[in-house]
Amino acid sequence: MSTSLTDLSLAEASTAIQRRELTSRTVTESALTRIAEVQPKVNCFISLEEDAALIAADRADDEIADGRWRGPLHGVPLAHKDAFDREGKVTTAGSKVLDRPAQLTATVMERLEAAGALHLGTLNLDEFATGGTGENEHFGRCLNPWNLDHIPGGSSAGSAAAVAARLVYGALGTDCGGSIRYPSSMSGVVGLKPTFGRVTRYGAFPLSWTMDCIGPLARTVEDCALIMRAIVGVDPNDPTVPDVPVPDYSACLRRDLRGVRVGVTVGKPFNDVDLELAAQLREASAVLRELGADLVEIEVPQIELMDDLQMVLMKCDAAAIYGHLLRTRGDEFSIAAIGILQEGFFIPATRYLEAVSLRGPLLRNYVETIFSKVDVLFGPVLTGPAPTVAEVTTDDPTKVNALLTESAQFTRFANYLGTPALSVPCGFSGKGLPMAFQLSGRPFAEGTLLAVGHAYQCATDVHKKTPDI
Amino acid sequence: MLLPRVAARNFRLPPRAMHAVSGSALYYITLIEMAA
Repeated sequence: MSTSLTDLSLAEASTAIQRRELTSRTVTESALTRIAEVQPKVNCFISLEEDAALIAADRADDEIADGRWRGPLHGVPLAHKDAFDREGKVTTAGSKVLDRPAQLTATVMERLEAAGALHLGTLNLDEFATGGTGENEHFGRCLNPWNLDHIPGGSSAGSAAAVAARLVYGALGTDCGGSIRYPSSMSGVVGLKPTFGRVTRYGAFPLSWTMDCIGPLARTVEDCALIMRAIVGVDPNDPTVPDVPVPDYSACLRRDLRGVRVGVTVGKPFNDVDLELAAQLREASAVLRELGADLVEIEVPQIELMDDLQMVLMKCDAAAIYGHLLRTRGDEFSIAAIGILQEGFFIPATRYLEAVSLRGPLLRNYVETIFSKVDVLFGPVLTGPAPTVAEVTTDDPTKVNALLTESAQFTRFANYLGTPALSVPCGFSGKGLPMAFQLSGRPFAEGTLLAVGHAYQCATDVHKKTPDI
Repeated sequence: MLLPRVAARNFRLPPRAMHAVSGSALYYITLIEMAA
């Protein structure tokens, strides 16, 4: 019974709760049962809040019975990367340094609570979201539910692993260089990095002021659309959120793909992927063509430059944000986190300003070059499936960095430009590890990405497979 | 090496971006202008 309930998508669970075919308590109890079984193996949670979640579930059931249904997230168990403040609770960001209770609640947490979503706990991440492997010296390594010898990807490792393992119906993550899409791809879930400024960051732990984004990870594109709808919108506490109209993302899913121009990325570095992944990508693009999309091969200009500039912004922002803590409590950081965070101290201010100043012109060039020809870009998220833990466990951090840098070349440019991108699972390797394609769009085109991703999922069943754990 | 590769290469900084703070403002304006 518990397995079948946890296998429902968020949308399916939501509908059953709304119709009172299931109670929120039943759904929550089955999620907690599964967490008790799987958490010791995967280690995706940092904290669990069972009692509070069950109380909230009973409240949701009472409200729904009273005819006060709040919307699709009402009574649905979620959990989130430990990166969002809730008043009185400690937001660790995967570190031991951030040890004080928060003075406020992040807007995204307030919005999810107002939508009636349940909060089962906080999810594991690479310390300060600086890594891409799910390794955390303080809270233990998070593992890939599809194969425990492999990493789940990071930095939103716990978010991806918890959704993939069917412990929660959705989760929030953060993405500064690929930290939503990277683990989504490796763990076989859908992950959306929205446009910079689309989702308020008030109360969220920062890694980069100029690039951080908050977005959903869920089993289906439809589920991501439901979570997005609850968290978007202007926030008086976050002036970086522009008053750009927000579409009804669920309505966007009904868009027909006939005539949609899909740009299949070719040339360097997009052709340098694992052979199995290349085959899966060809198959996935063929599905889009069968659905009526027009496929066009396209190269992305200046991708290597944008990749470099993203690193400059991220490293300088992070060093500035955590400089004081690094100087005063540096011995409490892991070596891996220090390695990333302190690099920003050695980048000249002129380089940073160059990276900032080129952002507008490069964005304009990117949009005018690409989106005059196509509506959406299609390509890889990573160069291949998830590496093994052994491959990323080495005394030589430069080897791990090289591995991650190679893999993140497809994700970072969207952070530098601030454009939206969606990771959609599209198959499995011979070893049973998930692989994914990435859809990228022009600013605020989340609806288009969700439409294409949803159409793909309606025509395929990759997302219905569950890990045997 | 990261730093030498960060040169502006084919892109010349526009005159208005020579003002240090205008880079981020210019970016933000462009982001909204380019909205779908």
